[in-house]
Amino acid sequence: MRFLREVGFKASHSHMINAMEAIQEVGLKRPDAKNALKVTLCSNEWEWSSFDRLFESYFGHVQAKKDLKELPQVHSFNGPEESYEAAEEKSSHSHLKEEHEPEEKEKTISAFSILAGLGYSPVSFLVKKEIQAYSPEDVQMAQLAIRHIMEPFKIQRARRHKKGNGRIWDMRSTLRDAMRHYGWPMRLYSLEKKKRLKRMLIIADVSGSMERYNAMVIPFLLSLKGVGPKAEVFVFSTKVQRITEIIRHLPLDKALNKIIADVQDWSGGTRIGESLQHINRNYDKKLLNKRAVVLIISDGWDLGAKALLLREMKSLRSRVNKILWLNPIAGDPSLQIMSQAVKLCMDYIDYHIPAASLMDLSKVGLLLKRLMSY
Amino acid sequence: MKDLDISSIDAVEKALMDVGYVPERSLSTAIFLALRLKKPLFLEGEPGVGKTDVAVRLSQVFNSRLIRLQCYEGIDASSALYDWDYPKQLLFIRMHEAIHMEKEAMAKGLYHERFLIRRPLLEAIWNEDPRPPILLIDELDRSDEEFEAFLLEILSDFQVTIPELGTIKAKKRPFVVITSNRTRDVHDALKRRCLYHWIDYPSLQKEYHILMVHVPQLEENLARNLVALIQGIRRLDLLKKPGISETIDWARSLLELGKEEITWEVVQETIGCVLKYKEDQRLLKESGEAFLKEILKGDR
Repeated sequence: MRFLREVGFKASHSHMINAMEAIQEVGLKRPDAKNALKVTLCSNEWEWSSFDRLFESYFGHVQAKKDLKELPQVHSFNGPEESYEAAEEKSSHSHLKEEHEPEEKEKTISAFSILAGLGYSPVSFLVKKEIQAYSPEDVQMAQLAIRHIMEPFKIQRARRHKKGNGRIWDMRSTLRDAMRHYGWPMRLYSLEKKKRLKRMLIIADVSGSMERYNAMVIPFLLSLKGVGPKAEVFVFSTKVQRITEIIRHLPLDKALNKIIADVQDWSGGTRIGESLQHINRNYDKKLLNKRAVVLIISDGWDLGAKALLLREMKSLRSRVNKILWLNPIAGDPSLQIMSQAVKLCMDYIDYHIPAASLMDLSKVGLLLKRLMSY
Repeated sequence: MKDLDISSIDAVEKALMDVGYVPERSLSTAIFLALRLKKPLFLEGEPGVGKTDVAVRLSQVFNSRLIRLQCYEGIDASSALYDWDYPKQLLFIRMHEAIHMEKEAMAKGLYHERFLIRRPLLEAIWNEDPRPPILLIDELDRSDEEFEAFLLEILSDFQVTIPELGTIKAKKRPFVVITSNRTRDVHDALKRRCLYHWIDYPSLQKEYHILMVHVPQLEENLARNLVALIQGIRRLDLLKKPGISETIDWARSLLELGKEEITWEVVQETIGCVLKYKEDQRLLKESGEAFLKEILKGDR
């Protein structure tokens, strides 16, 4: 259990109790025991797909198990005696296999050591680290963390009714009131629909200057899935492209690859003004109205015409409810010269927010929650 | 056998096969454990892989009643648990007032069982059948989070308190199957109380087996090619991969059209049975005839 938690499983005490009961039911025969542990200890697709590999690395490799014993965090593991014994028996087979495949063994063990966590919480370390300084391993960890960070930002879909002056008859209240008047419905109560949530329009910069942040920006966009059909996502560099459908239908990793493959001019130059002009011209009131919140994610490094940018920002501001600008370099004074576009447009931006670390992004989650709900 | 019980994983596997469901060993284990440990079974997976069908087939296996709660945005306790039949109650008041009935007596009769509209959850709890029912809570991810919290309460005790009638406790705990298409994450608190199983797309052999169980009149070679093609299509970079239900639909369509082999023209004609997005259809068409030939050649 401890090993699974270190790897990132949500395994709790109740999971453990379930697992013990399940093992009692199915016995220790390998495939069924593994399946029993799998259905009791996993709780999402990632855990489900990783479980077989982890099970094999834990119970299958003698070397891996030795490594595990050497790790201070896992040393105190008090797994069920029976399971451990079963692992000993099975391990002899894999030991023979190891002699023939030394390279593969090293690979497995090194992956195993990484998964075991090696005794520190990478997420808490990453929270303050600047996104541009992330290594590829950090990015994977941070993408997981973003999901948790965005948890406060969950929009209540207002399909329900509340007491009010709508056209729907509130039978429940009417009847309760009638009871007070000898069964005469003296007052007819009615319901009205709750106000609908605002629409969210995300316009993300994927130009060359933003390249180092893109590994974070796109997962951040994907974490906004919870907004559902009320979110529209555009990416731009020299041209603007709508990627809402990709984000809505594909899981994170596939969406990321598809976006990179589909988007023209990925990591090219930036023309914010032209991109906004395209959105302003091509999307009508259904998208751009006073219930829409626009979130622009860009460092503001613009190669386009300044007058056009100003005009389009002004036009956009007049049509929507709020404009937020997420700027990965806002916190760094030495890079402010790059953010000319932001400075120019400051009059039309309601919130200019730094987005250099996970800590910054967590604030964005909270702010969006406040702005988006009525 | 009054309770839902089964002796072994093999017995689950066999019983499901008998009613036309071809399960993975891990799914049979999950069902066996859910029955034994009296836990709800939480099934996740892409649309069309047979999550809902598990509950339907289990109800056939146990000859139990299937009670289905289809979740949707905005579902609440009054549409899932119970509601009072207000128009009838109003009529009742007016009727009894006309005969000058005592107010106290009227209040007693007003909140009577006969005015109670039992929704699926109450139906599953307040069940008089000798066999416990199978309660299918379908597409839970479509509902709101408040509804999840409410469900948590129901699933832990299997009892409901109706203020006017008192507490109703299930005499026999229903066997609960919850499904989700993973359009959003379901809360951990709910998942913790369930046994989890991810149903994936089946392997080539398994899918062939499933297809032959559902469409036995299909010619063997055609079925083999069809399954190989579906597996190949799933490897494409699609927005929505075809599920098992699409495979079965496609096979039935080919039978209806009297097609005996899969050619590029047949694929183009019937593409709508498999791919439901314009972008996906375009992608397959762009892959072209060569793609089809390559897959069918590989299969041979």
